[in-house]
Amino acid sequence: MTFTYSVTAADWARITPELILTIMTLIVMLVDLVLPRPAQDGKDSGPTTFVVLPLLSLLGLAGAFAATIVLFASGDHQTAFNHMVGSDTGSLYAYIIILSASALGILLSPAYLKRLNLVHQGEYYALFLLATIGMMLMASATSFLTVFLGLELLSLALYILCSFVARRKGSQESGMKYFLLSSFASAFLLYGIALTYGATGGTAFDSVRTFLAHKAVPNATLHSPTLLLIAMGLLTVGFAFKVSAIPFQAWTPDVYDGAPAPVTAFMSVGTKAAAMIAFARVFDVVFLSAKAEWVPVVWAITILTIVGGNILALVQTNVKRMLAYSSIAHAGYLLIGVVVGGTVGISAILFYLLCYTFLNLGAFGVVSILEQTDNSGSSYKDIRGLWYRQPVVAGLLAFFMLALAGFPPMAGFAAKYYLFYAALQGGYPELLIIGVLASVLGMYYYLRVIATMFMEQETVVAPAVVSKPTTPTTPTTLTPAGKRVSTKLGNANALTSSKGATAVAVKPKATATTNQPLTPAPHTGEQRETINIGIMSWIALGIAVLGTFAMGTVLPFWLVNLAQQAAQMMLK
Amino acid sequence: MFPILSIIIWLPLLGGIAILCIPKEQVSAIRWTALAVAWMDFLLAMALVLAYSQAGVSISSPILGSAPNATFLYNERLTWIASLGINYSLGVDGISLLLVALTTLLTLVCVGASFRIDRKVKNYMAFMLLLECGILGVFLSTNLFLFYIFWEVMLIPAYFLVGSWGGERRIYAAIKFVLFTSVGSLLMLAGVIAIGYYYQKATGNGYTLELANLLNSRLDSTAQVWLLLAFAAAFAVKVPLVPFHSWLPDAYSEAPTPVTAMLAGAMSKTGAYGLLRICLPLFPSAIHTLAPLFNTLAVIGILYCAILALVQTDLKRLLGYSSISHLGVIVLGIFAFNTQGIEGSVLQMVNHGITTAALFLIVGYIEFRTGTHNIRDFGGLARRIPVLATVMLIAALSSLGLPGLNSFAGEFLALLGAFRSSVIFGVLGTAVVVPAAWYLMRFFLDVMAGPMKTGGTIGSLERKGRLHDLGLGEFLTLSPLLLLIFYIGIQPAPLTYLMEPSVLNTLQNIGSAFVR
Repeated sequence: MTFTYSVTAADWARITPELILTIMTLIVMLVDLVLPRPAQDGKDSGPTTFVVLPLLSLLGLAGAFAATIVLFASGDHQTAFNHMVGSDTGSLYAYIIILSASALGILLSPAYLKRLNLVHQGEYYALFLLATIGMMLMASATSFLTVFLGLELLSLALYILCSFVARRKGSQESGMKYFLLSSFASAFLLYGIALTYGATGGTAFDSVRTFLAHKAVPNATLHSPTLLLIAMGLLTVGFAFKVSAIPFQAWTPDVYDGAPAPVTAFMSVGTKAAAMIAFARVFDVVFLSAKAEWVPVVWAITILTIVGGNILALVQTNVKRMLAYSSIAHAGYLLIGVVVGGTVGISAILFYLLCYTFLNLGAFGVVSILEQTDNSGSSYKDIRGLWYRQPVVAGLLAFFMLALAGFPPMAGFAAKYYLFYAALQGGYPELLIIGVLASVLGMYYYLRVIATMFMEQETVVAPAVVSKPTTPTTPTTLTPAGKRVSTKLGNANALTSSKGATAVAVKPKATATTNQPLTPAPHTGEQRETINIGIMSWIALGIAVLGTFAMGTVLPFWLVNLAQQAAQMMLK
Repeated sequence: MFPILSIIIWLPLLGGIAILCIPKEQVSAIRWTALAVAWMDFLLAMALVLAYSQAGVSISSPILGSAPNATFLYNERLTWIASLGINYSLGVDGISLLLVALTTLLTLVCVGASFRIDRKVKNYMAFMLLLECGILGVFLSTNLFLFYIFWEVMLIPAYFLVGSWGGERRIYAAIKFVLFTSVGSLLMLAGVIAIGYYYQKATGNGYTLELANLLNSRLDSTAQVWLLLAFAAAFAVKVPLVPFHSWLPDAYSEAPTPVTAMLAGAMSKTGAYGLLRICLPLFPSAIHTLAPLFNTLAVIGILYCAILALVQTDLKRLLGYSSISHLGVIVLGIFAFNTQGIEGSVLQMVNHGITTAALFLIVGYIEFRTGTHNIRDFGGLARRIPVLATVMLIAALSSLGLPGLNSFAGEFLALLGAFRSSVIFGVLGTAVVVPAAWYLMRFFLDVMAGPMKTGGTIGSLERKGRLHDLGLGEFLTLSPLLLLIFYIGIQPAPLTYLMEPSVLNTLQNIGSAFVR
């Protein structure tokens, strides 16, 4: 057997998005070295660092985005490097999802890094971009080896990013846990790849698919070689782990919880998108002729994930953890697309992922604004009555919660609608019913966050305060709360005297209990007061809001068609 | 063409956004803007009613001569997602017209009555207008996808209004309300997705959710049953029919009264409207199979909730149960499948909206004066507040169906229809009158009549001379409702004139052999 390995310029052209990002990663690392630093030891970040590095990274992402658009328009859509990487519309759609997620994640980062006083920013952005490249590779892979390559690239970068908050134990734990469990899953995947190679004699998707289509019995009963069955089982485990499907979800909440919020935002969407698209490509395209064998397993995982993810999210008491479990549930919905397969199933996955990008990044973005160094700030206790302290932040979080819960006209609804439609069209009405009913649970836990922020009042006007308004009894560290008390005094007086229909709940006891957890240390109290979100975070959240609305209202007709085209091309 | 329906729907939303731009200190500017928006929308709706009544003549002239789809006027259609049969399509017929008019009127009244809200006024008013937008959208959309969107849009402001401005147990009430409604509406979502699929299977045409196309389909009868159950789940929760009603007393009693008036007056009609607009014409065979089920639930609701209303000590809960009981009559009328029944039901939807809203607002006024809505705290208020007492008596009499006041005509027609369709359900449904008279009189007498309470809050307020009678603003707020209570009672014909062609049309779509 001879291998002719030739690389043409066209091959390089087909991976320009990745290339641009790789170059930009290197530039970011170099620029970090020459940026001025205030302290002698060279660890502290100067003010320019907060602007230059994210802007450079964004520039790289924008370049990659532009390259993706050009590839879209040029209509080449061939595989590159001997069927290793695809540049079909499906890959490009995935690039758009991953690049959007990465861009939003990077926009959220500077304010977060500044607030948590994190150094080593050059590494942060470089790793961010490397993870992006890994995800893109994985999503566009047309060979098992590229899948693995992409997976390892993104995982290695993310291990470090997860444990980036050195002073937070949870962050260390997050990185370590992710590393250990994820390597285990990678091993499964690799073993599966090896066995697939053993069974079919190929690692490129094309060759495996052709082999299965011709050798395996087309009428698809249990006639595939046992080796292939085992391979598919191992691959299922590997992918299910990466998309955090139940029963391989155990790492997700701890990792998502401990990691810095912008990283969580990015990885919850990016990794999921990459792994899910690779999952769909491998099972719905490559193993299509063996669908009868793998469908029961994936079907069961789907149901488990939808139901389990939603149930587990119910009992959480922290927004970040709740979002982690909800992302498990969303992975379950996405798996419906894998089970359904075909144009409609795959396009449903693509469209859902695109919508989900904006929803989830928005939600985690708000969490990143609230989060403190010790990982507090996003528990239900901390956000109680947030509406009264920070109406805009609370409003944004509520908006994304509603969108995630699937309320129209936001993107979450459009995505879910199309996915459920796919379930029915693909002949899986039971998945439609289960998905719909499980969404009810989703309603509960998303709306509970809203109830905590909007309906429970953290600042309660106590009669004692009303009687002697000149000396506020609240501690000075609680200035935002204190201010509200004093400004609302006249109002409250009127209310209590007239006993109006909507009297503010008057409970001095509640004041004590609810205010206590807010003052663990004067330091955090101060920080809480001067939350400076930073212009970039605002831009990110603005984009997420706009995207959420646009995907749900104006754009579906176009994006759904695009996703269908992409799916058709992936199936070719 | 002038997109009047879109304007009517979106004007409140735009108004709400405009309100959000006003600085929150300028409370009165916010209030008056909200009221102005509500007025504008109301006037637009009235213009629509006038225009429709002119246009309606040509259609209704021969009693049955109209084509099935001709009833929707002022249609607007924009293609949205063609491959999924989703369009932005609106249309109005006699039935939705009346409910649109009712909704805009109630919003006007409720926004007026909300001037007392002094906490987070800006958001409150914005949510009120968003609620109006959602309800109007439900009544006017003629595409199931759009219908579902508005159906859910309606829920969000209601959730916030109950949960943020409500009483002590507001969070419990709000979450319960949303969960009940969500279960129903998510089942409806499954139904929406499935109906296009079955349409595809039955007719071989493309996937569509356009109401006009779905009307002419002959769906397989088993599929119809499942689809009907899915849709009816959403509507039954919203109406509510009896096993799905337990959210209502909590939500109604915890919400601030203008919101309760809006929920009871306008939002509960969306459920009955959905039954009439979607379930009846789209699933004709299943609806005949399942009609006894719905009738039974309606009758159980009528009697059971009437009995529950008898023993309530909370004025708002009493009215909540009374509301369920009366809505049962509407459902009974709808499932009679004859002209009288359905006309009576639609008429009663309007009447119920007016009367219930008036009653809740009055309770709100009493609560504002006394700080309580527990029936045991009251007694003999009529001496101090005679005007309020009179107004309350009128509303209560209207609610129990006194001839000459509005509810009589509607309930009479609806029950007549029920009688013609089934004597048993007719008799059982008519039994509503007895407990209704009882609990509504108790409602009035315990609060207003009898000796003046000397102890408790009422006594102390009385001694301080703090019990004021109905103010001019309050009276003006209530006056449109009172006017309509008398007007419809004496002259229901304009309403039936407007709805008749559409009702006949609906019946034609059911394919029921009806007697005229």
